[in-house]
Amino acid sequence: MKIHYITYISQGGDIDKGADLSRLKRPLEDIFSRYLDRVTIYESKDVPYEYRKEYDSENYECEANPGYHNLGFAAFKPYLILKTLDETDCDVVYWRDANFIKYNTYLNHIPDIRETIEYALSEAGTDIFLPFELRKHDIWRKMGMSCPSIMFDSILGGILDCYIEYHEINNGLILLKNTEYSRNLVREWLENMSNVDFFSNKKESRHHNFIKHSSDQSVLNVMLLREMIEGRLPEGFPFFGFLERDFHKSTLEKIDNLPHLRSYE
Amino acid sequence: MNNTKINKAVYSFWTKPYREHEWKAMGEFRSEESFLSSWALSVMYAKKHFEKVELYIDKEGWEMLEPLNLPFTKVHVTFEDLDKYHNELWSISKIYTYLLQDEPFIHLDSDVYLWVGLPEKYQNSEIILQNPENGYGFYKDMLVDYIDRFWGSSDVIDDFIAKNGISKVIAFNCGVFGGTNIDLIKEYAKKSIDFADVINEKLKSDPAVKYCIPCFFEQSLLAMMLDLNNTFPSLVMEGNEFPNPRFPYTHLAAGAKKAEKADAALKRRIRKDYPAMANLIKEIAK
Repeated sequence: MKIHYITYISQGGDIDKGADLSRLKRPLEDIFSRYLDRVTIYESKDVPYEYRKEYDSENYECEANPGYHNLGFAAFKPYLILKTLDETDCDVVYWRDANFIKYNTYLNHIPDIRETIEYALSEAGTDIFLPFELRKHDIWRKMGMSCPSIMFDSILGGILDCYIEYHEINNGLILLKNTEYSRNLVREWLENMSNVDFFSNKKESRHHNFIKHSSDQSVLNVMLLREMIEGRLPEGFPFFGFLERDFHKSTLEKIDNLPHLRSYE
Repeated sequence: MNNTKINKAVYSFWTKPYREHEWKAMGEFRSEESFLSSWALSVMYAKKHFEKVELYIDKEGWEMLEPLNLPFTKVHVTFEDLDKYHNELWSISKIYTYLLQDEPFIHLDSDVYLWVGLPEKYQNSEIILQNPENGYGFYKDMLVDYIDRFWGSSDVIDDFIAKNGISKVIAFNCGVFGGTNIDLIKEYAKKSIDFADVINEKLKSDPAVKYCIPCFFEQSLLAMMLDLNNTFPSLVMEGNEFPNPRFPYTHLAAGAKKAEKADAALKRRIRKDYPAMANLIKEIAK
């Protein structure tokens, strides 16, 4: 299985409105190229402006991730994943957010990364894998805490308690087999990222469970829920969460007792 | 790999950091008397336990220590070339001293007192170190600083991060360092000096150096190299056990020597064990 590691680093200054992470480019290239088949560290020059555009802070500031509106709520992520899926000769694309200084665990267990990726995809039995988001103190985040009503309404046709109670997924780490299904899913994710209403901070578009917006992650979360409801992904997907965002065979925790999903109709 | 017993203690003293840093004057001791007393006590005890006791020093340092007539078996006045290094890089003289060794040895800081010598089980140890220094936030800061400014400058550190990430931060206190594996020690010393050279060059244009960089290229780089080599050192302090009943010694590390009680105990001890030396030091330090 050939694996292509990709990520994006913002550069700040006059180039984009993100933090300057350019110093991480070389370490990331050096480290991942030791263990995986291809490595691409994307920069802002690789992303058309529309996928990293600025939203105004008055209507779009995001409490969970301040300043995220300055980089288009990470629409660059589905753009770059799709670009890689279209262009790579690898079987699997592995996206991991770049900022390992902020999240130290991102670089844990890298010598085992190939084995861990193969294990996760094999256990999930799907073309895509990304783990449930696990916060500290064993508190699982629920989708209703981070996805505004408008996303459920638009993508799923309404809100049910089983949607709100389903565990949130972390899209800082995404594995995708290079298949038609993966490409279509990411293409739709990218299209959904252009719906500016999804990211508005207007209070009236939120249901009572809402706490903090997870932006691009929320969009993908609701889409994956729909994929389960419509049978293209198995219910219970992705089955595993990880501790402290530490990605390793030994830290993936099987999650049971998820709510049974039903169609809004 | 050498496999003979350790019969040699070595000391080192490079005065540039002392000359140029007020805060490091007298090695952070409370007075010149305490500074000289510590040297004397450490060397006199070492001479009881080791056939050879050698000193690596610069001219200025030797002018300070020579009047004590300490029982060194050999003195190498050799550190003049080190003045090319920035005064922040104070541990460079220790590392050069490690590099110059061709037989099993133990390097002792001059604030380390080895009361009963090396216990039997340590005498053939490949690598002897004082203790792990875990939980110090500055090593993590150093690791991040390395990524920011120095990535690619040290294959040891690059390899360590590629293997372990940056959650695992390791270092060993080198108040006591040595062993029988001279090849490994020399390899470590070369790699540490290579990295220190890079830092030294960087300091010329980027003076925002972190204060504990010497601990990083000495103590952390060593721990990383041992980790990559799967070498487990013999530790003088095991865990947080201090003093280790199997290895009675004292290290007045860092700020410990400033404490009034420690200072008084040091002076008491030299008066008791070596009264003539104590008198001589009092005369010199007047």
